[in-house]
Amino acid sequence: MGFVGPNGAGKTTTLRILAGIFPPSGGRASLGGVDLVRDPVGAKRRLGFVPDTPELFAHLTVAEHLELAGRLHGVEDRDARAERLLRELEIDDRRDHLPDSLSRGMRQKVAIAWAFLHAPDVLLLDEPLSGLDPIGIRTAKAAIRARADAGSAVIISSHQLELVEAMCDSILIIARGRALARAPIRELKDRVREDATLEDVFFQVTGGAGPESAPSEPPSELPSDPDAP
Amino acid sequence: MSRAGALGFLVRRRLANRLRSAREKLRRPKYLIGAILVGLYFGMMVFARIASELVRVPRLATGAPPAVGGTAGAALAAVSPAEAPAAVSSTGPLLALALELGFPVALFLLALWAWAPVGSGPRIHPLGFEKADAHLLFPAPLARWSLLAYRMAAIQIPLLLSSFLFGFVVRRGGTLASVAGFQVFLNVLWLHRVSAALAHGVPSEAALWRRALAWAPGVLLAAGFAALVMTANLDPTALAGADPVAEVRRASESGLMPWVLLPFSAIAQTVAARDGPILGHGSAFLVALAILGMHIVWLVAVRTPFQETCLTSAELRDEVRSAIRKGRFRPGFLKNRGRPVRTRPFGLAPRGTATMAFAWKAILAGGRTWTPGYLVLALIGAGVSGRVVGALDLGVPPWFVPILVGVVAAMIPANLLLSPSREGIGTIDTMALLRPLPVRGHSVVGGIVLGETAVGLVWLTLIAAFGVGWGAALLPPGELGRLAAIVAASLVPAAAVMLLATSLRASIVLLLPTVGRVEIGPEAIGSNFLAMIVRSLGLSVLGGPVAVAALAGGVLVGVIAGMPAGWIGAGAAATLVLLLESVGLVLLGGRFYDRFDITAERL
Repeated sequence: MGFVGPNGAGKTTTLRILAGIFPPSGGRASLGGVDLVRDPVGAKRRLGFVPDTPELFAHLTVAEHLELAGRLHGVEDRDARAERLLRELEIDDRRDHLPDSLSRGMRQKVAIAWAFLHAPDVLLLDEPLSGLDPIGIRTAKAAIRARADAGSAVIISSHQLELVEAMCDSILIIARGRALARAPIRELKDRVREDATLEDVFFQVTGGAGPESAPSEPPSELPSDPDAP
Repeated sequence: MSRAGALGFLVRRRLANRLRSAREKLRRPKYLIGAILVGLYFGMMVFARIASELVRVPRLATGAPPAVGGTAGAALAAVSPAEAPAAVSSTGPLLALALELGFPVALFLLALWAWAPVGSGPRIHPLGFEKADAHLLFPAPLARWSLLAYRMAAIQIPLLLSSFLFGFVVRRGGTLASVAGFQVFLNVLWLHRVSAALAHGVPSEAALWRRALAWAPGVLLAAGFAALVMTANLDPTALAGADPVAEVRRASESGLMPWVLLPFSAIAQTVAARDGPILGHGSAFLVALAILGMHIVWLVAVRTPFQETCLTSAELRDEVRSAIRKGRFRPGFLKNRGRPVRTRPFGLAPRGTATMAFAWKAILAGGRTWTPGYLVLALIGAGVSGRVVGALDLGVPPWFVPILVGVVAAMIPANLLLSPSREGIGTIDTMALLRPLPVRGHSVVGGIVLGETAVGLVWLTLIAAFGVGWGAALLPPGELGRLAAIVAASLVPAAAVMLLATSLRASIVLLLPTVGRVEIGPEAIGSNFLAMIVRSLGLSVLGGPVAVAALAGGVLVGVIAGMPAGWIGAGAAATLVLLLESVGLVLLGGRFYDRFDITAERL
């Protein structure tokens, strides 16, 4: 699912709540049916999270990052999985490098590998492709798609609407902390007009570009989300 | 268990890789020589310690733990080892009292400050989690207890280094007991700050019992403070009498004070431990460890928004670090960040030639501290220092020294400590932006030097204007013209002082650019140690003539005040040296810039 909204809409905050970093100020937050407040550890076992501009441990090599991820999640065959992931994301030649010697794109790939290693049920990806070169974007997109095909629930937050359109089946649009629309992308586009792009849908739903101009209520002709935060 | 193992793996591998990086750094001569120097220094200290043990002369009480007064002190003393020396000081009753009472009181006030429900200070440090911890570990299936244990384990080695530093270097002749004492002390201090910070993070909409539990330690501290104030039994007559120290001691041993200060006294005792085995000060250690345990239990039990506070703190810390490095950190930085920049008076903006543009940039940067509040502080500083120095008999008119010293004293802190202190480094830090501009190096460096000097002069003019205003109000009419002449003449030493300050800073940046870099780690201690020595030598060469010029400028002012006319030549010569050096500095710095010897990467 794509997760989009204007700057300041609350996307990163929402993802941080779902990642158990921020406490929800109201309502419920759960992952795979497990309540994040009542059983945070149980909920996080199902989670893989890639934050925006992820930071890595400065004194841990790439391979050690994945070793740590495997240990934290109790993955038995972590070495084999790490090896596969390093090859899949094309960073196997950097396994013994420290983050300082990696480019931004490489660090992003390590963060993605960290989130994928334990094959989580839920993947929260905040701008997962930022900093990647075209080859890296293709590689990462394929890797994300593969996880979704394998049954993981994937939520991608991004400002790149083309990317969201290409990768996601459905979309959630928020503004000012409120869900404005949640539906399959095709359905939303059809409701706007026959040849509409996701960008057209976005502007139609949010009513403009900035958080100030976003409507406080979802447009009536578009499907809204009653369970949204 | 597997997660504890994972976090152990993280701590272990981080340490191992840090050591590996340090080893690789030692291949560079700068670090190697520095490490050898530091090794020799510490080796000599240890050798001196062993030698002193071999020829040990029995000492009385130089390292004895400070006594805790009253019944509480007796309670602690009752379980202390019998061989612990008594608290007798050969350094005088005042110092002894300061050790016994001052440290616990200072700790108490610090604790009270950290728990005060105002201010943002403690927010910067909860747990010292880095962004990487927040991004990678917080979403992992780890309980709060595991995260806390991980951070505690991770900081023990840095704390141990600090403890050794305090135990062996600051308190020369200290033993392992002293080091262990500092280790406990620093852990308690650290956890206390974390607890206070997390209490600040409790949301107002949280349940009442949660808020009450979170703030309970703070309430206890406040109650203790109230008890201290209400039961303080100081006799003003005795305080003004022959032995005020005895009166303070008597008051400290009566009422509730010994009980309120008991935990703080115990912590103080662990730090004061110097002689005897590690647990020689058993009762104090036990109390201190109990306090440590209470902090841990509190942190685990109170359901404050732990991760959110820590992530926010990590982000704030990054901002502060970045601001310090760029010379943009000011008092109230956290409070004022994000606010729009104040409108500049008279539409000031960088304009003119490149040199003048950079000079303007420095002036405008300095303007960020030109606030009414600081001006008041500067004037108070001027008045106080002027009064103090003016009381001395220096053979000049009585109103001359107060005004001169006051003006210069008010100017120095404004420029050296607050205003554009690292603006020059900040400019060089933006080399990536400057490089593509068609600007020669001497324009950039000249602008830095000119700008920083000009900022000082602007400040001085402001203060001088106030000085003249005061003088007009206070002096007889006939003296006013003389006063104005002297204030104007004081611009000469002021400019010299500013050029001196600029010269010192610029020489550090231009000649030893790597000195400005903040490096952390044992391997960097040696390198920084070496850099300090080299820098001192460099400054003595570079700064010498400037210092002479500054002194001569001061003498020049004295000439106007009626000193021998022969000093005018000396002042002029010194000023010439100063100008030549400034020009040389600008040209030298410009060459470095043009030859790419100064880069943002090197800084």
